[in-house]
Amino acid sequence: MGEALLEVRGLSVDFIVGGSAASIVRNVGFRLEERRTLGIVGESGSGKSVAALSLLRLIPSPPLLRMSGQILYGGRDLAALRQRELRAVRGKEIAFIFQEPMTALNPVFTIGEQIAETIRAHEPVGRKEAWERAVELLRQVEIPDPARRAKSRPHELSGGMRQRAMTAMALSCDPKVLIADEPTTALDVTIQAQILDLFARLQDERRMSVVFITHNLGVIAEIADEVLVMRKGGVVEQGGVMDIFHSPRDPYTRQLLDLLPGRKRRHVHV
Amino acid sequence: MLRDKLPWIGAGIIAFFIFCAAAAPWMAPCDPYAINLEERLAPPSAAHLLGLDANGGDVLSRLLYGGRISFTVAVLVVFLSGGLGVGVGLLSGYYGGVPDAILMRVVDVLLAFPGLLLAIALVAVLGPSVANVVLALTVMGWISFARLARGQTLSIKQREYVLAAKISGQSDLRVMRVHILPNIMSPIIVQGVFSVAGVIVSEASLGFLGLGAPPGSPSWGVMLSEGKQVLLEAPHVSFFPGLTIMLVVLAFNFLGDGLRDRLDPGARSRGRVQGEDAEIEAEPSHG
Amino acid sequence: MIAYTIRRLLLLIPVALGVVTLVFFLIHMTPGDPVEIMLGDNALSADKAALRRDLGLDRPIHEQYVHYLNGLLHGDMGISLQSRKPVLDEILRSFPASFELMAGAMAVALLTAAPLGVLAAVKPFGLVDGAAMLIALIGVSMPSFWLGPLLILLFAIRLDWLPVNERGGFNHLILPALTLGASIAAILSRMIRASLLDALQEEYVRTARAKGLFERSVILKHALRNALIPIVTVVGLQVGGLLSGAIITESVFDWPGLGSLLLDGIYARDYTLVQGCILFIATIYVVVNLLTDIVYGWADPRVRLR
Repeated sequence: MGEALLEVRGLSVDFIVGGSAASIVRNVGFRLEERRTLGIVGESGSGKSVAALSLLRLIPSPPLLRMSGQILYGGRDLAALRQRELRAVRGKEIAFIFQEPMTALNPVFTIGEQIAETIRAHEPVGRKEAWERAVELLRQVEIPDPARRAKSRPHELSGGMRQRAMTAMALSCDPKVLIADEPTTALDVTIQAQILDLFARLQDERRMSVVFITHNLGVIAEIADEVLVMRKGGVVEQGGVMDIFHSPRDPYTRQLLDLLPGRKRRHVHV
Repeated sequence: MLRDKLPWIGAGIIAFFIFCAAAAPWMAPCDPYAINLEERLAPPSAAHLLGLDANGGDVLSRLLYGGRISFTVAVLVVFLSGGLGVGVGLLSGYYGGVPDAILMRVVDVLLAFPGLLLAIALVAVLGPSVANVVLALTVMGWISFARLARGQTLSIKQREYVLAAKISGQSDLRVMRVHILPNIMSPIIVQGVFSVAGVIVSEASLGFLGLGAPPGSPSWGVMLSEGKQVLLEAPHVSFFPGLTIMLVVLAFNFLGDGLRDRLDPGARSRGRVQGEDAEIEAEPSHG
Repeated sequence: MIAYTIRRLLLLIPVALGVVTLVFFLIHMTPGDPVEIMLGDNALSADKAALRRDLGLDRPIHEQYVHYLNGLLHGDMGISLQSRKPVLDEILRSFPASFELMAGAMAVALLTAAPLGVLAAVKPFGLVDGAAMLIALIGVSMPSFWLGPLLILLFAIRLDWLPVNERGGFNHLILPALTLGASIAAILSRMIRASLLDALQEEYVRTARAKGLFERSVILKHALRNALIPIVTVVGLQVGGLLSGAIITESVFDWPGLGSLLLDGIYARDYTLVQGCILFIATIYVVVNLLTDIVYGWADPRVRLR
């Protein structure tokens, strides 16, 4: 067991929906250790994305009504930080990868610009240097001809390329924690596998911890060390990936496992 | 919240000015056409609450009578252009084909004249008079109603209940009257309310340019144009007609905004509505 | 993009032809004999006949129409009945004044609408938003032929800060530009607010925040840049408001532009001049709309791809 890099205690999130309060996330807690991967699983509407976005307080108000709990990182509680201090953590210490790069990337700027501005938001570097680093990052995520691609806008790239570009953007300031919210869901299966391989390699090289949110247990089996299963805003089960797959205690987890194709389940036994 | 009260404030102001215009013969202290050169340009006083104009006409009396011209023109133009526009737009959207294509080309040509230019051209040709102003503003105004009605009809005629009515053998006329027209009325009413504001300003503009009601008549635009000649000596002559126009137009805009929020909510910015859906959790696209 | 531009240019031809035809036949319905307007009632009938022949008025109307069309293609809009000078020369002499007024008004509109709209959108339904939108609604409702005199009374007479009723330096432009720009500023600020509110809901705004950008650049760079794309179209359409509003503003301030030229033509029943002015204004409007569409395509990378 290593040192906990990120620890969440009693995270609850309420939204205001149609004039009344609704509890979206209830009492979620977990520890993320260095170089480990935590998978958060649940169907759509289970609150897993809201929980992930709440880690960096990225939910606008409205719909956000209130948020409580502690998000401990590097000796500080992110839930209690001022906006100014939180900004310095976002993208620099903890970075995000979103599900749909087509809408999550800004359509009017080139991907090079979008990567370079992230670097310049956190480090005192010039335009030219930031641009060169952006190109280098694109090379690291295996985008061919990165110097030319950096000048493309998101809609000029394929789906897989776009997700690689967003990954490069997330890595641009060498974050310690990467939060990936359904990063492969919008991609087709072969591209999905390539992106997962890329993640594994980058995580290893850069010694990152990863929070991986997905509705797909098969993906969890491939990459996660620990698993947290969510349903209707609450945690139904959490533990090591082997324990969960071999001896699920909660009936809901069992239901999810039964939905998996047999091939994926065997994969776990390796 | 003030925002929710504005439509009612608007309706109140409109009711007040319409009442004043209707009751002008009983309320007006003086004959609006009276000439009194001895006291011309006299500032507001107890005898003449809003003062006298360049001919010694009582500004208050002329404003009250002016409301009759403005509201009559506005109502006539909005009903004429609305009726014509909705009729043409409905037929064109419903039947499509060549007549629709011709309509759209005509609209393209008419839209090439910005703002009041078409009305100015028409009045220039026909000669300045209130009747010609009504005609010119109708020719200008039907376009927006026609485009709106056509667009609405195009989207509604594909709905199931319209298709069902057609299949069950109802006549086209009946389908349009019973199934389409009532369903496109909301945005058209909203448009109608905004049009009243537009027509009142247009009528006053033409009057101001000397292309509307004849000189000397108690029309708000003409009063402003005559007031401009004596702006330095007697600012009250322009001030009160201008204030009246602004209040009336503002009131119709308040009312129109309120009606749009209630009848045609989709037309407003989606900002507030979106915040109320908790659509943060994106639906994963399977497969 | 080039194909799109060419298609738009081709679509312009029927519209332009329609506009010319409509204006020509409309103006030729005008009652009154132009020759009598030029020569007066007491002229000799031989002189009248000669002039009528010179102007081509003795020919059937469809021949006059073809003649006029042909002239337009060669930049000839006929001769002003009143001044006896070419109509196009008169127009080109007045246009710079109108252009100066409209450019000033557009500058006023953009410089006030952008901050107003952004402030309102950043905290929607707050106090600033409410105040800004109420000001905007009043601005829309304020007729320029009242705003103009009010500004003159306040700034030129009461405070004696600015000159009035002369075209001259920058000082002379301020009041007319404010008058003409006010209602457009009001419309634009409402549009910018709505468009920015929409953009702020987009996912790329969340991404920009997640990257740790300063809120200033989240709003002013990421959201605003996207919000301005639809505004381009609105600005283009507002040029119509400028062209038509300029007629009234020029009349308020005795500004020697196209609007004044048109009104003088109408009062003097100088029908060739009126016809020329109306065609010229409509042409500017149509061309500006075309340019707007092309700029829109350039500004929105998703359209550009097509």
